[in-house]
Amino acid sequence: MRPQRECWASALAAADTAKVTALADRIRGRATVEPLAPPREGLMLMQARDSVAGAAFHLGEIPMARVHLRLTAPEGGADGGAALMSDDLSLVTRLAILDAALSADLSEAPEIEALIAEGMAVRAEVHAQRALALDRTRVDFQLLSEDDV
Amino acid sequence: MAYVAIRGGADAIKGSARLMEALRAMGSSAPLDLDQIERQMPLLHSKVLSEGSLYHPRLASLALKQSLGDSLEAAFFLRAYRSTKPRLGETAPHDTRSMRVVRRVSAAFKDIPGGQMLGATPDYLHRLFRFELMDEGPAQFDQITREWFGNRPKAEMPLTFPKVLDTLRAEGLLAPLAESDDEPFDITREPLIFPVPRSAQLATMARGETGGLLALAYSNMRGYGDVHPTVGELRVGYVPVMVPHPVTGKPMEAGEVLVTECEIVAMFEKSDDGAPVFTLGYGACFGHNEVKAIAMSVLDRAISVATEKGRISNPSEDPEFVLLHVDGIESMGFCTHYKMPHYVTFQSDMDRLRAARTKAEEATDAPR
Amino acid sequence: MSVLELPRLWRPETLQALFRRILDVAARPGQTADLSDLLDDRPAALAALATFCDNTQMLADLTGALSDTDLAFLDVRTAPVEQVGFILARGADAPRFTPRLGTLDAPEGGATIVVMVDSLTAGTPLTLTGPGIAAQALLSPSGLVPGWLDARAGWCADFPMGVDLVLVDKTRLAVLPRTTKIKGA
Repeated sequence: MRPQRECWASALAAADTAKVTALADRIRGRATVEPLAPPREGLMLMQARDSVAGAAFHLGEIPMARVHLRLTAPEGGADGGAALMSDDLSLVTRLAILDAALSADLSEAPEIEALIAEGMAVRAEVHAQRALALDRTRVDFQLLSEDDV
Repeated sequence: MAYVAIRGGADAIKGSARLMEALRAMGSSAPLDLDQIERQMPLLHSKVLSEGSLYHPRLASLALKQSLGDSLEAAFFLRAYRSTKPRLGETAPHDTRSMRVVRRVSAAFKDIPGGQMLGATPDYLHRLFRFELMDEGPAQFDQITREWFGNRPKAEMPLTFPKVLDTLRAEGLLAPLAESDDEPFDITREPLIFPVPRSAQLATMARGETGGLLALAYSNMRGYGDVHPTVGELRVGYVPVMVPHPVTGKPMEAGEVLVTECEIVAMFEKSDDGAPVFTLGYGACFGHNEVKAIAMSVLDRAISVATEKGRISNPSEDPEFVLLHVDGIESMGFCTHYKMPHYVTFQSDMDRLRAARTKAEEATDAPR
Repeated sequence: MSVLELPRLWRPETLQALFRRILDVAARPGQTADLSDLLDDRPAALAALATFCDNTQMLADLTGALSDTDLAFLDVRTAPVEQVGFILARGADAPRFTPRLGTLDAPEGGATIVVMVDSLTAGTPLTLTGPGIAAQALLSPSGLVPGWLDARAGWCADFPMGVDLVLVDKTRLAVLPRTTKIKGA
């Protein structure tokens, strides 16, 4: 089962960069790509909601790169997009190309899915390491009673 | 009192820059790796991330390296860098219940839904030197990581947890949380003209300098104020940053941001009916910085106390006093500008002093 | 080259050149700027908005001429016509709204209205006087119904509040700042 589209970019960002680059460039080599919005990298204000009074406020700024494009290959095409907390516009452009290619089910789709699976495994390992750390530092403090003293 | 324009000194200034570089490079130590700074000094690194108000871990490491470890200067580098980048917009508000927790404790409650996890903390360790750290090599690091990851049990643990205070709300001990629709105040574009909304207060403190916030909060804790806080929940973890997918418009994860968040519970006697109610304070910032989040929450409560009472009893309750003095770049910048040449102003001060002394001498010499 | 090429109109150097020309004719009302070499076959109206708009601004498109992609490149928020800083309208349709006029404290809050006309040179001459004009200048737009100049007179009656009009045909642009007095038509 193909993972949900909104998970693709974060998975691909965790996969091997050289493989992602090579695959995206190969697809681009045989297709036309045009921007549907200005491809930009810059900063966004990150809003959080204070959980005590419910006010939305700015925690600070985060880097963000965003690409929205149309990919047209001889056999078909689709619109693609990606956004990543990064200043690497080349990388995000490649993620948007892979997003378009996979949603158009081009012939490279199985390779893209394999890279997504690789990236999800990397993320799962990070998750597992965090779970291990929580598990080993779980606390169950006992209050001292007069009997213990 | 103004600093003045000067000429000359170009050679000395160039020499000074070269000297900083030479001092850095002299001796036998290898150049600092940016990963070393991020991984082996994460708490200093976190400080710079939140005071610089830019979540760019790699640049925060570079800032610390270039500023020779001066955290105020490093934060300044990040703030300056921000001004060279275009503003793409704002995210939607993130709910920190989505945080992938690495540490979660409560001082108020022993048993909380999901449990307490210390994470990595020195809280319960003695402050005794471990002299073996003076002679560490890669072999030691290998052994440590092998021992940690070896024999790893299959830990099927959730990483996200509900808020402790939600339990109190469910019991009716706290008012339900009303989410405000107000657009957050943008302190990067608008000056603070008091009174300012809560979003301006939180944003200003979120990027405030840790020592400044701590000193003001401590003044309140020590007795200059009325806040008697207990930490209801302190959580540290990674909040996934969600932005709309350019094609589908549905939320996609663009990355994650390390955040520290503290909610304190304090009692406050309401004067009208006399019945005490639970009151809260909130602090949150980029990076792992518990002292800052706790201090922020104490100041949040202190300022709210003054608003509720209708009068300010000490500086930590005064939003103007607090918010205008906690920014590290502003305070450090002003302090440091005193070193810039003020020759003309000072010369005129000297002339006036001499004239006043002459007058005073003439007055004592004059016949009565 | 792995980053996508921007269409010519949207490149920073194009926007810079456009801005320079618009600034020049805004300072000298009556003069017309020929933008054809910069437009890349897009309409001058879009080029004008491209130099004005960014994500801090709000726009109302009364013509429906802007596509979704145009709006994405303009990176501007849309809102009702009475609230926005920038309006795109047709000279053939008399205005039936009151735009933002600014305040005495902040007269720059008055809207800038880009008005699409058939031609800047084929109509009856209007006589222009005022700041930036030595004695007088002539501008002859065709496809600008009288309702526009009547409305403008009302909007700009309480100077410094008012609006600024940017007249565009397919390839050329002229500016009528609120300081310009107009006779004729």
